[in-house]
This record gives sequence, structure tokens and C-alpha cells, in this order.
Amino acid sequence: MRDIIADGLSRGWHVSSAHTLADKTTLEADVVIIGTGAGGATSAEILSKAGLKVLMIEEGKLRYQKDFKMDELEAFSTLYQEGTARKTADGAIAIYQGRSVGGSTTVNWTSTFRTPDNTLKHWQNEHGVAGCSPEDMAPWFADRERALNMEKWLVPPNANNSVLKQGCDALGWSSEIMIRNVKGCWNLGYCGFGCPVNAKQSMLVTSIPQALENNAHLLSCARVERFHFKGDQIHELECSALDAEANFSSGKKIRVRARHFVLSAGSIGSPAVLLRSAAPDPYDTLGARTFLHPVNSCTATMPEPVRWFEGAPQSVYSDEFVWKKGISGEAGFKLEVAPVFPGGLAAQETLFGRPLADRMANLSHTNSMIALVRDGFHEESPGGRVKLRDDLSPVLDYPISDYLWRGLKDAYLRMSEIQFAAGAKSVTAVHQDAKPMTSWREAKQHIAALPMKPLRAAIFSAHVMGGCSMGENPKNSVVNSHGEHHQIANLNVIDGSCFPTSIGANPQLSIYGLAAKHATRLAERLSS
Amino acid sequence: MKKKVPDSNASLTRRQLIRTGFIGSAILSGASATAVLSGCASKPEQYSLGHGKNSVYQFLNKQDVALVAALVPAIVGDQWPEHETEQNMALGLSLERTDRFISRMGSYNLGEVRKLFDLLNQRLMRGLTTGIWSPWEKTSNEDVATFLTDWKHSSFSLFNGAYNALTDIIGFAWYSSPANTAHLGYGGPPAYLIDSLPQFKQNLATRPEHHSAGEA
Repeated sequence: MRDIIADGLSRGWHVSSAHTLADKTTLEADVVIIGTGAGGATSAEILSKAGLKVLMIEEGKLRYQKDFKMDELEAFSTLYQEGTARKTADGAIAIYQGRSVGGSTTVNWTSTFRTPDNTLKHWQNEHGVAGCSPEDMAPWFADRERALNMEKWLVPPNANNSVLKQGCDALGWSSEIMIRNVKGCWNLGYCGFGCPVNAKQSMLVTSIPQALENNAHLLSCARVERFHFKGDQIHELECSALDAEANFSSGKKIRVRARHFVLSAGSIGSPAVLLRSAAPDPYDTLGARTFLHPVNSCTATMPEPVRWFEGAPQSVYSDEFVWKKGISGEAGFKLEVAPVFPGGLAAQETLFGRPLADRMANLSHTNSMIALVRDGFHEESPGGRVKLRDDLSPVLDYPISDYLWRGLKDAYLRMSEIQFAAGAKSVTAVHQDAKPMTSWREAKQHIAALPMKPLRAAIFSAHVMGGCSMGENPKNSVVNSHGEHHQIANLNVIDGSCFPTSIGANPQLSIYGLAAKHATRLAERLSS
Repeated sequence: MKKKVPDSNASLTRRQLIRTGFIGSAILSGASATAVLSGCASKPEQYSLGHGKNSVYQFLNKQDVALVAALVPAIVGDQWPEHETEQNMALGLSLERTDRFISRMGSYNLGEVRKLFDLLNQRLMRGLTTGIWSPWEKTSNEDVATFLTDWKHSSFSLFNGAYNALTDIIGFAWYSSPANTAHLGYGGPPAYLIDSLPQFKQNLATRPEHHSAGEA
């Protein structure tokens, strides 16, 4: 089996780990891209193809097929930000973001959706975004769908996903088969641990190799600390070299100079770099309006084994409730399933003793359904704010409003209704005060009484969006509709942080499409 | 009688709550009872490993080992083996995995976990916040369970967050080991994958990464 990364490295790709560089090394390039996730890697591919000398800087380590051994502890602790310990400021929402080369695309579950038309129109009408209508964006989505082999999944869904389809069918609710970005997929189910067979068309095996073939340089294990400005320009970028495992600062500094900078560090990382840089922020918009698609979950015990660990982790979804109460009405949510591996299930339950053992005893028959709440479309859903802690590390302060709690409670109800309709023997909301329920009638009463409070309801997020909102009016945005910073002349922000709201669907294609559009314009600008 | 946590959260401001992150709170932010209950921030420090002095672990120190040894059986409940030999093996595995999991959480979280563990290892603070005055080695499963239940239901969200952190860390370290879940239906990736994929063949797995180091 040929590994595209090992192969490229043996052919002399320009790849370095910052721990091997001398202290005070200075690097130069035409364009420096900070972050190698969906936004940064797509930009690197396009800018390097235009003949520009590109340097990609990544805080994480280069981990690839040789490291992807389908081991839950290794994957969680090395491939996710803060080793999966990242949480919102009050500890109420667990945040899962990638932290190795390829960013979250290395660990995502391949679920692919174009940005919904409703979302793009809302951005145009409510947030002053220009040039991103459904018609404007369609060719960019189509381009990325071709580049990343995004196709409808033709293999039958596994039993975990089938519960969602069967329940929706029984209730007369809509459900659809997913589009996935895979090529030669073995249908194993370990997407979240780094694809062990290089089938997932993540940035790690597509855009990053293409950029490296175009003579781009990848510097890993380098944390970007801050920009230094001269006038309205970034003059220099200051980085800290981390150790070989990308866990701790080594104390060594690296300086980087370039004509232009692209910030693609994700919706917590990108605002954090600008905050640490004391970047101009005349209207106090930086780090604000950061969104999460807050997710809650119900687990069901099914009569037959579910074997959630086998097969594509997500292949069915339901949009029945995403827009039902209007674009700006009560909180809508997308329904999917999650492949809860045992460690993750135990961690999300935060139970102990007999109740935890009882929950885990049903492991092989467990269906885990999740609801992703669409945040940012209503005045009572302004999102969170990225802030810096005393040690200058970023944290997202995201209070869960009553509006969102109502949506989450509605989601508990709909999920359990689907699970019972699919034949569940019992259903339990993932909530510290929840008890196993054996009928839909019982579920309605029990869920209605559940206290919707931080730290009691288990809430998580794998989709951090916003924080550097785009729009034409600098008073309510950080970058313009092309991702160009309103106040800093040689900076683009190209990642999910540009979104003025959440997407209302798993966001990878939204980031790829927008990044392709913005990077293509930037390439033209820098080449002219 | 169960020791109750002093209920002084009325004066706790949102700003104070914001400081906490992973653990959820103030237990975290001070080494004395006053600091804990007032939410005083400690000085920022860049936490790194190597603090597990006189210990084979990267993060856990000798006192932490006794703490984890008391927490694991209480948290995993019926899954804890009956016989001493198996218990020793299970504890060894849990300690190594707990240490590895915590060690990669990054500087900020390491500092938070350190504060929590130090609090639980210090007799006066442990007694005041958990009601457990005996050393961990001499504390029964029932008493550990009582303290966890108190923290879970405390009206003080700081303790709720710390409860979540303890059950999350110990629960994850235990259940993410296929050796502990094979009898529940998940024994890790199937043998045919381990036999066929290159990353499990030693010569490839240990091949050093090529880095053209030092070039700009």
C-alpha cells in the first residue's frame, strides 16, 4: 500500500518540524499560511499552483498513516486540540477540533454538505455579505466536490445509522443518505482516529501534498504567537517552536516574513492570533459571534446488536427539524448519529459506579443519536466570544442561552421519539439527571422535567465557526466578503472563522468552497 | 455525616467562573481554602511535564498514584476485577493510561489538573472539600462514592466541573482500552486489519520521519 505522505517525504518534500530549527531562525516566503486545516490547505494548494512561494505553518505535528492505528486513547490525545480536554469557559461544552497537520479534516467523519441556500441568503440579507449567494458559490462547491471525490455513499448504512432512517421512515419524517469525501473507502469506521487506509480525502492526502508538489514548505510543531505591525501592514510573524510531539513550547523562537499572510487557524485559533497581536479592532468585533452547533445526544438500547464501530460513522441524516420553525425562528437542529467508542461514551456520560457500568454493559446494542443545533440566526443566539487566558492561550466563552436550551430540549424529545419508533428497548438522554426511559410516553414526561443547565446536560461541539465574521460593514465584521481584513492590508482570514453564523450542516465543504473562492481571488491579486 | 461544601457561590461572579476551563473551576485556582472559595486566580504559569518526581510517570506523582488508585475502583464499579492479581494489573494499566491522557492536554489543562490533584492530596483541603480525612490508601470505595456524589450534586458549580473532570479522565482512560471492553463487545480493530496494514508492521512503524531540517 502506497502512502502518499511517506512517498513524498522520501522524494524530498520541503517539510520541517520546528523543534529541529535553530533558535531565532528567520524564514521568508511570498505568502505565509497559518494552519493546515480545510481553509489553510485549500489556500496553500491554490496559491502554490499560481506560482507563489508558500510557507504553511502548523502548530500540530505531521501525523499520517504510520501513526493511525485505530487506538482511541492515542487518537484522542494526539489528534485533537488539548487532547480532547478543550471546553468552553464554564466547562459546559466539550469542543473537538483537530490539532495535527490537516487540522480537523484529518479526524472528521467525512460528512459533506454544501452550505444551505437559507444560510447563504441570510448572510446576504442580515450580515451584509456580498458575492456569496447560492449562485455565486455553486461553482466553488462543485470544484471542491470534484477535487475531493465527494459522492453519495452507496454502501448500505450500518446499524447505528439505520436506526435514524428507520425511525424517520416510521414517523413520516425525512432522512437522506450522506455525501462523503472518500476514495477506495474500506468502510471500517475509524475516520475519527485518522483514516488508517488513506481513503478519506482529507487535506492530509489531497491539498497539502499538492501544495508540497508545487514547492510549498510545511513547517510543523510551530505555534504562531503574534503579528508585529508596521503601519497597516504585518511586518513580521513571531512563532514559538514546540517540542517534537507538539505538546509544549521548547523556548525557541522563529521569525517569519512575507508579502502576505493568510490566517487559517480555525475559529478559536484565528481570533486568538489576532488578539495576542493586539490587532486593530475598532468596533470590538474580533472573537465575537463564535458558533458551535451545540450538540446533545440520546443513547438507545436496541434489540439487536448495533456494532457502531463497523462501517462509515455517518451515512444518514435528517433535516426534518433544521428550518421547520423558520430561518430566524426557534432553534432548529440537524439529526445524525455518532459512532461512540467506549472511552468517548464513558467520558460524555460523566457517571460512576453502578450507573456507569450499567450504561457500558449495553455498549454493543447502543445507538447514539445526536442533534446539531443551528446557532447564530436569532437575536437570542449571539454565539460566544474567543478570549485570552492569563497565559495567552485562547478560550471560548459561550453561555448557553434559554433559546438554545429550548432547542436542545426539543432535540432530546425528537431523538428519543425516533429511537422508540425504530424499536428501541430503552432510551436515555445524555444528561446527569436522566433515567433510562422505556416508552415514548414516558420520554415525553421525563424529558420535559429535565433541568436544562450547564454541566448537567452533556453538550459538545465538533464545529467551531465564526469569530472573524465577514461582511461589507466594518462595524459588524472583521474581514470583508473576500476574507480580506478590514484594517490590515496584507492579511486574509480564510477558514470557518469568517462565517457570520453557524452553517446548519457539517461545515467542511462550506470551508473548502469559500476558501477556494477567496484564495483564487488572492492569487490573482498577488500575481498581478 | 457527609461533609457539605460551604455554599458561598452567591458572590461568585461570571468573570471568576470564566477562568476555569477543563476542570470547571476554583478548586483550581488556589492552594488555600480562602483562595478556592473566593476564586482567586493563581499566577499564570507555563506548566510542563517532569513534575512526576520520584515516579515512573510523566505527570502523576506518588501522591497522585494513591489518589487514582482510590478513584478507579469507585468510578468503574462492577468492572473492577475481584482478585488481587487482576486488580494490580488493572491499576497499572489505568495509571499508565491516565498519565498518558493527561500528559497531552497541553500546558493550561495540566496546570488545572495539577491544582485539582494537589487539593485532593492535601489533608486539610481534602477534608474540607470532600469530607475524607483519611489517606486515600485507607479510604473505602463507599467513601469515595459519597464524595463523588456530593461533588456531582453540589450547588457549587466548581465542584460539579471537578466531578465531571474526574469521571471523564478516569472513565476515558479505562474504557478506551480494548482490554477492558472486549467482554462488552468491542475488542479493538479486527485482527485482519492489524495483520494487513503497514502501520502495524514494525519496520515501517518505526521508520524515522524524513525532515529536511533547518532549511528555510
